[in-house]
Amino acid sequence: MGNEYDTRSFSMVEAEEQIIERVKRGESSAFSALYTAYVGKIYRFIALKVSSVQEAEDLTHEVFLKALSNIRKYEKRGASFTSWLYEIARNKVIDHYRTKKVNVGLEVIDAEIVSEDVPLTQTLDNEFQNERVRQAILALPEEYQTVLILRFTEDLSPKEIAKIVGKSEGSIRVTQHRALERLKQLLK
Amino acid sequence: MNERDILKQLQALKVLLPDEEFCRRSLSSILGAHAIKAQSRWGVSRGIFEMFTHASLIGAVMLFIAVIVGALNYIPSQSPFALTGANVRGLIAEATDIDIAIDLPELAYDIPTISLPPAVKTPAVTAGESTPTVLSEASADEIDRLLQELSK
Repeated sequence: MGNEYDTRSFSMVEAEEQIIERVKRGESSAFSALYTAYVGKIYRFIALKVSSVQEAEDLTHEVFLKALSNIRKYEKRGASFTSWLYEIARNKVIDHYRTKKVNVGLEVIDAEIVSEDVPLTQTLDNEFQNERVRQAILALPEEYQTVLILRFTEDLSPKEIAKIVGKSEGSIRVTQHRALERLKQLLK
Repeated sequence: MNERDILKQLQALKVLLPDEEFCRRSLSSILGAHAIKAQSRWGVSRGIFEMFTHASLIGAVMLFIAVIVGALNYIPSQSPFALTGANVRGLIAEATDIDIAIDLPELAYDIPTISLPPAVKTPAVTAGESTPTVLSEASADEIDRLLQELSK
């Protein structure tokens, strides 16, 4: 856990706004602070939605590249900078699947990994458990994935998720409930 | 797995972190790409800037030359354009002695005749005759009166 790109290395909202302003003024070196603060969150969000580390790294890189190129378009209108990054990341993953047409592949993963044949006992190490949950998440529809990851792994409020997904808070609560039910079924 | 276990598992996924080497490479690549992009954008504006710089430089050089030429003309002895072998005073004296007489042929004026009162009728202008002096001799009152009549 001694990773310098852990999300906890950046917390002050005021400092964040100042850094964003510096980047907007053309000080691209200030972007390093934003990258260091958020790369962990964005990488995790993407890694839980794709099947390989390579894809997760490539998409994470693209997200931050796009963020830097479009940072002038970012305006703090109720949504935080993190929400803006999650929105870019989500669109990148959707585009990734659209262009690669890997939906069929995900079905295969679902059948293989989350089958009843997988031995699940208390002796299984955490890494295996994590991988099993990750694979189960991968088998869910995209919106269910997004809501579950942001709500329970990233601890975002339904309000924040609603802004990222572009839906109402109530709709997010319904999706969250359905996604949990579906995940429960997959992990039985 | 009950709901509580699932939530615990979802929380446990926080351990998923990117490779530090990847982060370093990715960040330097992003900053590098951005710098190149900014440089190429600056390239166009730099071209325009240089154009203006060159134009103003040429302007400044021209102004400098004009000032130098002006200053040299102001001090004739220092002027590179001064003819050292020429006798300037002699040339001026010679020029004033030149008497040029030009005979002008009779000029025909195509001006409609204005009927003027006899006192101010202009005599015909012929070569060799003196200039009419009617107006020059007329008093200020007469001129006013004539102007009023003409304007009627």
